[in-house]
Amino acid sequence: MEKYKLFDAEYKFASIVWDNEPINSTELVRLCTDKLGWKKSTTYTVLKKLSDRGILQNKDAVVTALVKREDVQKYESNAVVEKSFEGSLPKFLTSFLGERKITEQEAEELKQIIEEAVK
Amino acid sequence: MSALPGLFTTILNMSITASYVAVGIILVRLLLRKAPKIFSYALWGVVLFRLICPLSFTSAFSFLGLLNIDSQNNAGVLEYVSNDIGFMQEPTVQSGIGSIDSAVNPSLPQTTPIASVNPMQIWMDVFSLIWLAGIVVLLSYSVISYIKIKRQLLTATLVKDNIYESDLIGTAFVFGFIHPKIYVPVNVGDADLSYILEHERTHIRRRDYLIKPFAFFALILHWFNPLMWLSFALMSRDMEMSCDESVLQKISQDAKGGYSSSLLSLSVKRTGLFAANPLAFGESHVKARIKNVLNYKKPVFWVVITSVIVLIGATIVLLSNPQLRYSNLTLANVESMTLVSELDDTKSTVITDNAEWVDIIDMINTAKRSKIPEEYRPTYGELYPIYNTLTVSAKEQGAAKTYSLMIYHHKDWDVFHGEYEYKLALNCSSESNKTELWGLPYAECYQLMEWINGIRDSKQNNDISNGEASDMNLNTAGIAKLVEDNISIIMSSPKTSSNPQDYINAHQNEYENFFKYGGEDALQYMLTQFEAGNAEGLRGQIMMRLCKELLGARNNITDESLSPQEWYNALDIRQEIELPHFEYDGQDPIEKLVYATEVEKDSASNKRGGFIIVAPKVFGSCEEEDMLKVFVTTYSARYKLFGNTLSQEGGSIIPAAITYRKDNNDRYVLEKYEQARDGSEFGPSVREYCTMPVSGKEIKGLADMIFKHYTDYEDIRILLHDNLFKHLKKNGIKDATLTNSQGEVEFSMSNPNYKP
Repeated sequence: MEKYKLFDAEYKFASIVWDNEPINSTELVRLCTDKLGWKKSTTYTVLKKLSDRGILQNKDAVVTALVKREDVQKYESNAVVEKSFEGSLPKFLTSFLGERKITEQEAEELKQIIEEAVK
Repeated sequence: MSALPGLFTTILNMSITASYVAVGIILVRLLLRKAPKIFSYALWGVVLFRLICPLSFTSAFSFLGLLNIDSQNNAGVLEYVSNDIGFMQEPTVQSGIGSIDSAVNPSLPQTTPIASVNPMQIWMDVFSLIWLAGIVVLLSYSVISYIKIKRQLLTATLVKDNIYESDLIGTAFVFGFIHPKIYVPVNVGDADLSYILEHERTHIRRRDYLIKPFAFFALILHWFNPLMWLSFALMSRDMEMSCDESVLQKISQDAKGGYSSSLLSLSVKRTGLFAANPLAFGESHVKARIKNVLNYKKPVFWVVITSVIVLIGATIVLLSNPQLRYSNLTLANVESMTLVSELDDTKSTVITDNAEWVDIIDMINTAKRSKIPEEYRPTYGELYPIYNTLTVSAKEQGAAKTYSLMIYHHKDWDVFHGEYEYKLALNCSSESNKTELWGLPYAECYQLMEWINGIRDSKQNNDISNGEASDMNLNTAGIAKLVEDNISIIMSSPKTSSNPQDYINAHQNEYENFFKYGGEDALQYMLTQFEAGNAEGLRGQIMMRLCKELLGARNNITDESLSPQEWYNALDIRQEIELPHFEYDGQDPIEKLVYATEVEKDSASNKRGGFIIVAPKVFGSCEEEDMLKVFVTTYSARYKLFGNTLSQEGGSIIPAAITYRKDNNDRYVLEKYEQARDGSEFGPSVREYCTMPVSGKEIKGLADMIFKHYTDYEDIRILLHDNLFKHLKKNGIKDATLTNSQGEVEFSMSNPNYKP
C-alpha cells in the first residue's frame, strides 16, 4: 500500500494525535496552541483536511488516527512559497528588482570566495 | 473627477523633485561606498519624504538650486508642471533642464481659439485616469498576494517565542505588521539558524518590516516613475546590507565566514526556476551581500565621523527647496504704505490702513513671481503718464526696500491688444540703489484700480465732512523740494556738455520722478518759476522740456527754436474743449440700441474726462420670445480736444453680446451685457455667449465669424474715424488733428480721406 504523504505541519499535528489518542478535540486545540502556536480555527481546518483524507477521525469530539505512524511519510522539504516575501512586495516585482536566484555555478563560485576569505 | 487631475499634478511634481533627489543620492552613495551601509540606507528617507510630502523648507544650499527652477509657489511647493496646465493658452513644463523643456514643450497641445475645451485639459484627465488605474491594479495585486501568503503561513508551527517554521517557504523572513513573527523554512541547520534568526531579529528591532511596505506604498503612488523603482531596489539592498553589518557587529567578527555561508545555503535552498530571470539586472542580491559581509570591517572612528557629516550635509542639501530668487514680502516686513493718486488732475496722498495691506502684499508677491513676456515688460521710458503710485516701505533681511506699484498708461498698448488702457508696473529700489522692475497682469491692475478708487471715494467724503485738508501747504512745500532736488541732481553732471538733453539722459530716474511723483503740481510750480523769471540757462532748458512733456497736447507752441523764457511768454495753455459723447443719428433700430448701450457703458466707467466715440460691428441679432440678443465687436475710444489738437486717451476692441428685453411699451431695455474675457479665456468666453437669448441653443458658426473678424478689424477702425469726424463736425469743430506717438497723423478733419 502506498504511503500517505504529509507536509511538515500536518505531520507534526498528526504526531500530537498519535501521542495522545484518543483525544478530546478541545484538548487537541489547547495542545496545538501550546506546541504549534496555532489558532483554534487553524487546528480545526487541518483536522478537517486530514479527516477528509482518511488519516484522522473526529467522532463525537474525540479525535483518533486511522493510519499508523509507519504508513506516513513527510514530503521532502518542498517550498511552495518560492520566494522571500518581506513586507508585501509581490513576487514578480522582487524578481524585476534583481533579487533573482543564483545558479548552481554561481553558488559554487561564492562558496570558493567564502573559503578564500576565511582561510 | 475635477480633483483628480489636480492630485495627479501634485504627485507628478513630487515625482520630479524626488527624481532629482534620487539621482543626488545615487551620487552620494558612491562617496559612501566604503562607509557602513546604514548611512546609504538612511539617505533614502529623503526620497521617501519627497514622494509623500509636497512641501519642504528652503535653504541656500539646496541641490535643486543648481537647476534653473523658478517655480516655487508660496507654500514651499515646487511646481514644474502647473496645476493650471489644462487651462493655459500655451502649456509649458519647467523641468529645470533646458534640453528637456525644449523637447517637451513644443509637443504640448496648444489652445486654438476655436477649440472650446483645451486639449491639454483632456490629456491631463486621461493621464490621471491611467495613473489611478495603475494604483488600483498594483494595490489589489499586493493585497491579494499578502492574503495568500498569510493563509499559507497559518499552519506554520511554533519553534519558540515568535519564531515559526514551515516547509512551505524557501527562505526566512519577517511577516506581520503589529506582532511581526519570524518564519524560517524547516530543516535549517542549527548553525545557520542562529545567524538567520539574528538577522531577522535585527530587522524587527529596526522596524524594517514597517518601513519597507510604507516605501512600497509610496512606490505605488509613483509607479509611472522608473527612477523610483530603481530607488526602491537600491534601498532594499542597502537595508539588507546594513542589517547584515549590524548582525556582524553584534556577533563576533570571526563569524563572517559562517554568516556568509548561511546566506549562501539559504539562497541555494530555494527551489524553483534556477534559470536567470530575463528581467533581473545586475549582480544577484546574494552575491553582493556575501561580498559585503566578507569585506566588512568594524568601521574606524574617522570613517564614521566623515559619514555622519556627509549624511547630514546630503540630507540638508537634498531635503530643502531652493530659495526663491525673490523672497516674499510679508506683513511683518512692511513698515508703511502711501498712495499718491493723480486721477482727474487732482493729487491726493493717502496713508493706507493696515487692514488693506494683505491684498497689496499679495499683489507685490505675484508681480515678483510673474513672468511677463519680454515685449510686455515695461521700461522706465514707458512708465508715464502715471496716475497712481503706491509706495510700500519694507525691511527685507535687514535692508530697507521701497516698492512702488505704478499704474501707468502706455500709448502703444492702448488699442493694440484691444483690451486695456492701464498697465501696472512694480518697481523696487533698495539701499544699495539696485532697482528692479516687473510688470503685472491686467487682473492685478484692475484689482488695484478698484481699490484705489475706493480709497479716493472715501477720502473725498472725508474732505467734504472735515473741510479742506490741512496738509495742502505741506504738499506745496513738498513739491517745491521735489522739483528743486531733482533739477539740481540733473544739472550736476556731465558738466562738459552744453546740450541739456545730455544732462537729462544722464539722470533718467530723476527726470522720471517728475512724472511719477510730481505731475500736475510740479508743472504748476515750474510755471511759477518761469513767471518769476527764475528759469535761466540750463535750469530753464530742463524745466522747459519737463513742462512741454507734462503739458502734452495742451502746449500750443510748436516752434522748437525759442529760448525757455521766450517759450513761456508765448505759451498759452490750451484749455480742453469739452464735448459730449457720441450720439448715433442713423435710422437702424438695432444699431441705435447698440450705440446707446456702448456709449453708456464706457461713460459710466470713465473717470478721466474726455468724450467717447464708439464703432460697433454688428454680426447679427436674434429675437426669441421677448428677448433680443445682438452680437457685436465694438471699437471704443476716448478723446480729449485741446484747441485743434486731439489726444486719444484710451481705447478698446472687445467682442460682446448685448441682450435686451422688450417691456410693456414695446421698448427694449438692457437685460445683460456679456463681454469677451481676457487671455486664455477669450475663446471660451465668446463661445459661451454665442447662444440664443432664451433657449440657450448654440448659434453655429457665429463664434468663428467673430474670431475671424477680430484678427482684422480695419472696418471698425475706419468707422471709428468716420464717427469721430461726424461728431466733431456736429459740434462745430472745424479743425482737429490726432497724431500717434511716432508723430504720424492718424486723423485730421482736413484730410479728405476721412470725409464719410
